[in-house]
Amino acid sequence: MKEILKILPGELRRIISQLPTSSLNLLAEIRLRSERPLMVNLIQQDAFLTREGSIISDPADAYRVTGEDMLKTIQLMSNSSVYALEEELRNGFLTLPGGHRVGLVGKVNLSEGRIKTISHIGGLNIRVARQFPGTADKVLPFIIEKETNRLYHTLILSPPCCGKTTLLRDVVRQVSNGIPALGFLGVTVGVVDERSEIAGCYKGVPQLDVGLRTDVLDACPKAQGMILLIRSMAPEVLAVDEIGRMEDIQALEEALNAGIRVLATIHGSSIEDLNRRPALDYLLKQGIFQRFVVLGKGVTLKEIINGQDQQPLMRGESNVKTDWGRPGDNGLRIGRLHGSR
Amino acid sequence: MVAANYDRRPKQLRAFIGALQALETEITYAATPLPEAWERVGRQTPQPVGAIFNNARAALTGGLSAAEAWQKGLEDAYQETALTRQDLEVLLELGHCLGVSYRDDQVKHLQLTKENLRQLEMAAQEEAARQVKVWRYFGVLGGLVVALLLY
Repeated sequence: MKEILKILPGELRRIISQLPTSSLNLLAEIRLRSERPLMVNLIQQDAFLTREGSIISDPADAYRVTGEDMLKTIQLMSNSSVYALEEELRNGFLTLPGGHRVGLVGKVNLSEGRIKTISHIGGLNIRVARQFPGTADKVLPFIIEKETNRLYHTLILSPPCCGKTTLLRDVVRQVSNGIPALGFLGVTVGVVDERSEIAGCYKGVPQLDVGLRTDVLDACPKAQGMILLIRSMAPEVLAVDEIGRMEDIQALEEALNAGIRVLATIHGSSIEDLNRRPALDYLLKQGIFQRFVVLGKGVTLKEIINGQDQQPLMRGESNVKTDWGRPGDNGLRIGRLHGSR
Repeated sequence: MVAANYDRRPKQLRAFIGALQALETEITYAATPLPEAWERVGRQTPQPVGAIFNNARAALTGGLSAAEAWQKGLEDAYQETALTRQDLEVLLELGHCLGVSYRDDQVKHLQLTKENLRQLEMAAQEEAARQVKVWRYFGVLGGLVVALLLY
């Protein structure tokens, strides 16, 4: 939180820091929209804030974010140097120290049909980064080949916002550190983090724990990044988020040819879902993946499927929420994983 | 003393032009954030101009906006420099633009300011040449008067 308060101008800083601790622990997003009420998202539930920092549902009494607030936030975020964030503003997001991510919208300026910059920032979404160590505990025994101390080629399938990236991050962390409980020795992991979501890098240094033997290529296009990592960092495991394009698949094949284990995530709710997308259908036909981990709505672990015979190895109880989303110290259970998605 | 001031002003203007050039390089090629860029420029610029950058940096990290910090740096040091009010105005003007826009735009503002400073510097040099001559002439003349009086 400290890192987030630092980039808020005085008035907003005061309001947010007056939130009760119980709410701060649930804080997932702070939304600043110029000339509109100040909003926060407390784990899938949004609320307006008054000038005194109390949570209300009626927007009429909420604090209205001013244009000045927006400008000052940008100044604080950029260290009074907007030009230093050109690249980030082009991509519409930036990462703060601590791995928190800020999404931005405003007036887009084009150059030859492509986004050149965003000026007149009209809306900011500050997303609090949270990490849930242990998320992968239930999954790991099924995706590790004990005899050889290697990871199976694993694909994590999940609809949006179901904890895909959070799970990936924790698998990466544990595989990289080694898992004494399973007798697994840590291996070198290469991560291509195109949207800075897995490791939340700030100035190239991961702000979230991704393990001791993990090399992160931050903000790099997946396909190019995978090839680069294979050539330069000799990873044992290559981890990428949200594959789906043909070029990603080709890069994955390159990794396989180099004898590297692949850990990837993908949008989708079932394997049949993937068959409908040409690039992924091709990938499945290759029979590369040995394990499919399927997540379901509400952060449940639906099933783990063996890639060879398509038979389920493990089935999660449907509609029972797993207890892998536990924020910090207050022991509050939440139904949803809230990492930096 | 006065003659020395006329001599110092073009020198200091030149130092500013060089400093802004260095700042432009930091911004365009390295996208160095202002606090760090000012510190680097401050270190490589002769005094008293270098100190202005250092003081501005201190004010900026102390919580002032870039424009306010720049103004503070300039105004605090103004008395010790040989700069005129006009020079100061040109430099203050730049403060409103520093850090608030993209690289292309930053470069435009820096170049405009450098161009303005160059004009001032040329004028200052001519002025200095003339004034120094006048004052030296007075000096010599004064000496003569003293010499004559002694006789």
